Amino acid sequence: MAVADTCLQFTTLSPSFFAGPSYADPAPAKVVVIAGTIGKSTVIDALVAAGKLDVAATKGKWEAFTSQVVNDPVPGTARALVIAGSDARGTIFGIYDVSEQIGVSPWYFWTDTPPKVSKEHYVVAAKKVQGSPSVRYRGFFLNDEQPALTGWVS
Amino acid sequence: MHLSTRLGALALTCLLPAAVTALGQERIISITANNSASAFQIAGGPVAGGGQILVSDNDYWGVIRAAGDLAQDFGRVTGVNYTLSCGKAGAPQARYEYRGVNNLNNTHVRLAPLTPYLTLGGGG
Repeated sequence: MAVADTCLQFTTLSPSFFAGPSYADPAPAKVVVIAGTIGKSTVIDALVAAGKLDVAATKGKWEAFTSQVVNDPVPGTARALVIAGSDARGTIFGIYDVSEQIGVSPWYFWTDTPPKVSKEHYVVAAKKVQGSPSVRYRGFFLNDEQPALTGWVS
Repeated sequence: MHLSTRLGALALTCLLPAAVTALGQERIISITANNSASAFQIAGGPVAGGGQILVSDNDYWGVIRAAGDLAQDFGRVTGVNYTLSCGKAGAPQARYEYRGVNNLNNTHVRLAPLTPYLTLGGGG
């Protein structure tokens, strides 16, 4: 086996589980946002198959998403903002894009940025297509040296 | 989440000169209808009592987590948390399987083909 094909491997423990958000019972009349990944999410794939959602500009891309207001997207829902991502991060970016636009900064957690309070929010454009990021791999570095985060972590 | 004020201020100064503007991205959400008859209200008005976000439970776990965050973010700005649904009544809480790295014996490692479980620690 060539060296390039090998690397250190750690054995893994038996499967563990962690909990995600709780699901409420369906209330279709109250649904305002539908989110999912193209080719993975049943509800998104059904909207594409029904011709209600056009994802031609997003499908197969890297970390891209389409956000579109769709009439009668699922039974009982008159209208919803549908977020369809090309992959997991594309969908997540589309979801947090809404968070940011309603007033919750991406730095809400890391810098305690306060949310901008407003009881009313409107989607004022029919559609938004966001393409792949111009830099493929991005990141930010949290200084974990003294005295920055050490005290916070402990 | 109590970071030092200094770090917070520094990060804000360096990275976010214009508060919560969507860093060059296209805005489609406004706090007013902008006199547009086609504007779709997603907070207040008919959904003043709280809206719902719909996902499929077969989506990536990160997507479901982010949708749960969005439901809470609506609460942070409107005062009423939204709910998250997967379209099924009585659905159990989302649950994700993972396999932790066995670090009980760090003196013995072996060479093996690349696996998706590979984790190389960084920094510090």
